[in-house]
Amino acid sequence: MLLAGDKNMKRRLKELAILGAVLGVIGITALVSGVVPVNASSGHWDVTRWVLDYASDRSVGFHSRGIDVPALVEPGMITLGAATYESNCVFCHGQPGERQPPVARGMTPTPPLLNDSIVEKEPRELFYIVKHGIKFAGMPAWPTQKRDDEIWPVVAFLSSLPTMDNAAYLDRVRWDDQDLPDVSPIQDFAIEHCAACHGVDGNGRAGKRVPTIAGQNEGYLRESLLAYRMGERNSGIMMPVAHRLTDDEIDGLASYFASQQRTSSKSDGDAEETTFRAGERLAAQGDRKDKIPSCVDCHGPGETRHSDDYPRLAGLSRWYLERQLELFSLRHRGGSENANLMHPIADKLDADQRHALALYYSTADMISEPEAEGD
Amino acid sequence: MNRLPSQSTLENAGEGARQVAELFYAMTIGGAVIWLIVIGLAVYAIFQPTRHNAIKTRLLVIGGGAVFPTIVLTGLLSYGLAMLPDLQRPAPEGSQVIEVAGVRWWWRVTYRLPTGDRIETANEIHLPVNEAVEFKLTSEDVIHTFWIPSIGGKVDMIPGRENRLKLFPTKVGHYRGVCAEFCGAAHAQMSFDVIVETREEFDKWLSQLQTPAAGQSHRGHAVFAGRGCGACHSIRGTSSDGVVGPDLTHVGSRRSIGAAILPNEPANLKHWIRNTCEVKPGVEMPSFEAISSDELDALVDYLGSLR
Repeated sequence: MLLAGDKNMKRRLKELAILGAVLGVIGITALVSGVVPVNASSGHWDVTRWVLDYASDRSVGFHSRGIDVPALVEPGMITLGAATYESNCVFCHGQPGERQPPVARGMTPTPPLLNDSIVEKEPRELFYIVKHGIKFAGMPAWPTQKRDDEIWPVVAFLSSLPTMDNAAYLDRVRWDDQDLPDVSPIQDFAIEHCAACHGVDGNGRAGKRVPTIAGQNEGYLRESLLAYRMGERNSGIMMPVAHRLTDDEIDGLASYFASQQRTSSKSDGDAEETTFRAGERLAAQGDRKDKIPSCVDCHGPGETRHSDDYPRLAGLSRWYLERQLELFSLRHRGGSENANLMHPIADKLDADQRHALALYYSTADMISEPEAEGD
Repeated sequence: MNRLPSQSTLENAGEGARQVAELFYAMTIGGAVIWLIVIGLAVYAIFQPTRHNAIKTRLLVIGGGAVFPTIVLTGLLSYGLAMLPDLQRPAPEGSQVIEVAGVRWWWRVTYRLPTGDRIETANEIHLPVNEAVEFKLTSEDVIHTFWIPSIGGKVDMIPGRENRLKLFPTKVGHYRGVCAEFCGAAHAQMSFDVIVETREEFDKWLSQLQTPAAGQSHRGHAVFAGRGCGACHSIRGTSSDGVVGPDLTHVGSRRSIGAAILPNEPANLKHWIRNTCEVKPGVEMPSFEAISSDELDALVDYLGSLR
């Protein structure tokens, strides 16, 4: 009996091996001959679509475990997310409440219209998809993997999509120039490319995450845009914008925003007196023991002689300033050729010092006093 | 500068170094003589054909093996210890007092003036010849060691305490001091210049050191201030009052730059400012790669004028 069973088994194995070999030959023939169509025009079979969607959903659900979702309710956050969407995503996903853009309709798989599909996704899953993209689906990864902070506004915007119609969307991403009496060509250009987030005068309209660029030094603005364009400064929002700009346009924008008046200091949160004083002291004198140079020699306020290539910090938002110092210490910021000057300094600042400095500069007086110079 | 400054105790130009050199010579020559005698006796013992006299042998073992070393070592110890009181004794009242702080990786030098004022410079120490000088040695970060091999030393600089050292230079000249305790990446590039000069020249130098810098109308001064150099460096008499890095008030008069690693010449200074981190890996100062040639020329010209 045993012997007979053994023989049986051997025959089975042989048959299986032959079957495998035949299938292999067919597969290789199909692959090499090129008879299998890769055309997007015919779309996927229903079953293929279901398998790919299911696999993608499972994968995103699995890999997005453990992502901490920050508070997504913050003034300006949805506007910033919407403007980012308008700049990076709208070509494929279309505007909310609108039909699919015609080119995107030709893609396989077709990029989903997000108003409907978004409700099923958790914020952590949206974050994961926006940051990493999806293979074979045409969904690209975020232009840099070092700026998670830029992705959350997009998530906030996406989460608000189910209740957003096209008019509400356009209200967020378009600057209404009806109020401006006389629009110069550069102003018109700025309205088109910058105003959704930065406002037409550079004083911002999308919350604390967007730096105030009104009255910023021209050299710094130009160098920053060039660095974004070269990919030397990391930002999934600004790199695509700068990529579309010519040298002349960069010069024009830098000069336009530098000449705008910075309206008021933007204080986000309560100012604690002791922390403010600590920041003020550190900014003015540095710290000999910890070998921290003073900030005012390069960044003001009051001082007007510092290089045009260095940013003036007074009046920028606390959140933005603190984030820049953190990004410098992580080497995630990048920047112009001058950015390396900040690395050893940012390395020495602890979280409390970053906080104090950001608080000080966010509320410090922006006004320059050339007469007071010469001490 | 056709010859590098001396950095050898055997080429001494100070009391402490002279005594250390003498001790070294005495021990080397004495040791050599003893070694020759011992080897000579060993050779004699091997080639002596007849039987050794038992009493003489015993006397030699006790005399050469116990009595002689005891006498020699006691003598050497007394000789060495006798040097200490004088080396340890503080410089007489009224001597020049110089505070030196080791900072990774340079030297903060502060001269105490008879008026009670203190005047700061860096990486170059001037000493009057044939006078005792009192050093107060501290550290601002890790353990360093202050050593001028040709003149004397060496003494540890320990964070949180002040050590002292008296030096007595005896020969006019240019010498080199070093950090003699490993203190991190750029330890080997942490040196300083020592200039021993006559009392007259020293007084002239010290009074020059006290004058604030001139030349604020120099274009290079605008570059210095504009590029933010003053966040770390001081130039007395200007708005630049940084305390993190070396004082540059009279940097143009110094022999070298970067804590005595390059001669103070315009080409070297330009190279240093643009490529700081390549010239001295680990240095706290960042490389100013973005500075334009035009700005750099003006800046280096200005720094050279600070004499």
